[in-house]
Order: sequence, then structure tokens, then C-alpha cells
Amino acid sequence: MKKARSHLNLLDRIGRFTRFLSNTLGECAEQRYAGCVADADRTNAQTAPDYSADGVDLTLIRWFLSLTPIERLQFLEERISEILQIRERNAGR
Amino acid sequence: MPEGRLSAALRAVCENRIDCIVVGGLAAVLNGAPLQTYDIDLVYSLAPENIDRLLSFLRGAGAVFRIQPERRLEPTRSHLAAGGHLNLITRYGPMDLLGTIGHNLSFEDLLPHSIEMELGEAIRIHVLSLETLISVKEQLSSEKDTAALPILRQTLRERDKKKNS
Repeated sequence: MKKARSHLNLLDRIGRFTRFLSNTLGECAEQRYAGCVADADRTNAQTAPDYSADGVDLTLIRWFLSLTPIERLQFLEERISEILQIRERNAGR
Repeated sequence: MPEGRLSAALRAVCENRIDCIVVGGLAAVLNGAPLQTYDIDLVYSLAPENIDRLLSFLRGAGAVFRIQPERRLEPTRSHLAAGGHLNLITRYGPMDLLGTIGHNLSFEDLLPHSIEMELGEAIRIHVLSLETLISVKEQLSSEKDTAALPILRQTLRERDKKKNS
């Protein structure tokens, strides 16, 4: 019983120390990088999710938007051709 | 790299000076939406001289109606002039010719809402804007059309964010 109480005490102290470290280092990092990272970039990194609320993969959209219309057309044509080849190979299945 | 069938079809459309706008899935892809599509949807001008050019193009492309391809039923001038939806199969693959889309929107109605895109050497073609594509799909409200809406809306949001950043 005494041993268990001592373990709990130790865990409590470790927890408080971890919270202290995290708060202190968090503040330091905030101060250290203030002015180094543009506010807009920081906001983008924090607010740009990978998926929308309705489950759309935004990373795929961002990648596709980075292509030119010609590249998008070529990509689509390559994919269609690959899919048709796979379907041909598996005809009748 | 050999030219793909979609590019070849669009090139032939341009070479035949057909007044039309790319709509549907291909327009979505060209506007940056990561979707998969197999056919070309075109809204065409019902002007008689355009129908002549379209008819000549379709003959060259070996176009027949998809509904019973074994009957080899070819589209005629009256089919095209009627301005309905013609679902065809051509040597370039499936091609849908549409007199109107949404709530009776014609080529002339849609032209101001399209973007002229250059898709290769000698391929300059009008493509329906993403905003209008979304609004047409919202009007249609069929299950097939609404299925693509979340991706189209998110593509528009991401594109606008990119433009403004």
C-alpha cells in the first residue's frame, strides 16, 4: 500500500515536471521564432488540413492544381490507358 | 509520347472549327479537379453552319449511337439540330454531344462562362469554368451529378486560396 502511494507520488511529480517543461519550452520556441516565420505561413501550416469535413482529399486537389491543364489531360489519358489495359488483361473475370 | 485519344479528339474538333464548349468530367479535370472520366461532353452551337461542320467531323470519326452500337446508327443533321443529348461512340472513344445542359443552357449562354484553354499544339478549346460547372451540377441534382460536387467545391476553394496567397 505504502509502495503504491509512493509510485503515485512519483508519477504525479513527473507529470507536473513534464507540464512545466512543455510550457517553458513552448514559450521559448514561440519567442525564439517570432518574426522568423511569416505569420501567413504559420497560419497556413496550422490550418491547412489534409481532408475536408466531408472527406475530400485536399492533398490530391492541391497536387492536381499544381499541374497545367495539358499535364492534367496527359495524366488522365495515361490513367485511362492503364485502366483499359488492366481491364483487357482481366477480361471475363 | 503518342497522342492520347482525348487529345486527338479535341484536336479534330479544333481542326474542324466546331463551335463547342467542353463540359462534364473532362472540364472538371482540366479545371484541376482530380476526377476520373472516360468520355468527352461537348455543348455545341446549333447554328446551321456549325451543324454542317459537326456532321462532317462525326462522319470522319465514325460516330454511331452508343445505345445499339451493333446497328451502326449514325447521327443525322436532324438529330443534331434537335439539340438533345446524343450519346455517341467514335474512333476517339465515347463522346456526348449536348444541345443544352442544366436548365436549358445553350452554347451561347455558356460561352461567357467558359475559359479558352490551350491543350497542345493547335488545340485551343473553350472549357466551362469551375464555378459554372458546379452551378449546373447543383441544378441537375441527380445522384451522379451531386456525387462529384464535394470534390468540385473543394477544388474551387483550394484554387481560390492558391490565387489569393
